[in-house]
Amino acid sequence: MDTNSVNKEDKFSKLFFIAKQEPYHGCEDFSKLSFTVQLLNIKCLFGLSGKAIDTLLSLLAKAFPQGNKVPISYYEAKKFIHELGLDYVKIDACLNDCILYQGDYLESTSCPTCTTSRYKDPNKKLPHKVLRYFPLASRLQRL
Amino acid sequence: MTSQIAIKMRWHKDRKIKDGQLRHSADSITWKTLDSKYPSFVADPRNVRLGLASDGFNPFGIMSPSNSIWSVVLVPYNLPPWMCMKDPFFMMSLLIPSLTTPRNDTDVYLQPSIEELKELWGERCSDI
Repeated sequence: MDTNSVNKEDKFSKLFFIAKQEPYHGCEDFSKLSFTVQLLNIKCLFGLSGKAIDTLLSLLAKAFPQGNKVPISYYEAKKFIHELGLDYVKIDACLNDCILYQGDYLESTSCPTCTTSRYKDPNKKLPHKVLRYFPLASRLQRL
Repeated sequence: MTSQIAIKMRWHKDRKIKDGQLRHSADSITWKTLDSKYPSFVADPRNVRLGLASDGFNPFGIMSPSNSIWSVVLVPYNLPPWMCMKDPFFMMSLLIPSLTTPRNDTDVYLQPSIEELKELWGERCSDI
């Protein structure tokens, strides 16, 4: 077995484990995963702010029975969902759409065609433009 | 892929009605041209064909034209017509930040997508 498939299996057993966790002991209708996914779905549907979710989660954590495993903040919830693996890649782009800073240009700080700087502020490394790329293969597999 | 969707992904080959009427992209001339060009690709009904569409939208409402984003969406054309144009099956591929149409510069942004498609060409789902 090559390392790739070992990694895949590792990931799968991890997913299986987190899917089985329950938000609080004795909860039959939800797993921690389905609870978090549905909560974040509601957030997207109604455009709730991150802070609203933070507050709601801290209330739920207090209201649910002792020893519950509800994610304590929006950040924690996102980190938990991250394990599902359908995330995206951020690639910096030239301000004038000349190149993407990937491959040979990964470390460059200015565009080779129009010499524009990659960053708004070179000290803070804040890029002008960021392309979000959603890898296709994992999405096809999850269809 | 779930078993039901895996069956539906072969719909373009297994569909019953093939009377020359244009009901699905699989009836189109372009589709058939591709068939004749790559017989080894077509031989396996599990081949995947994707359509690419792009449009601009404004993430923060119409009043803020300073934040315009162009999304690129991939549509699996294997699925029957009543499924392939429904949102659960759309696959967002790219989010391009651009105030106006990226026009020809779109190809710069499509690079990562094209690279992955080239990689996937000729591979099986289980090989990935």
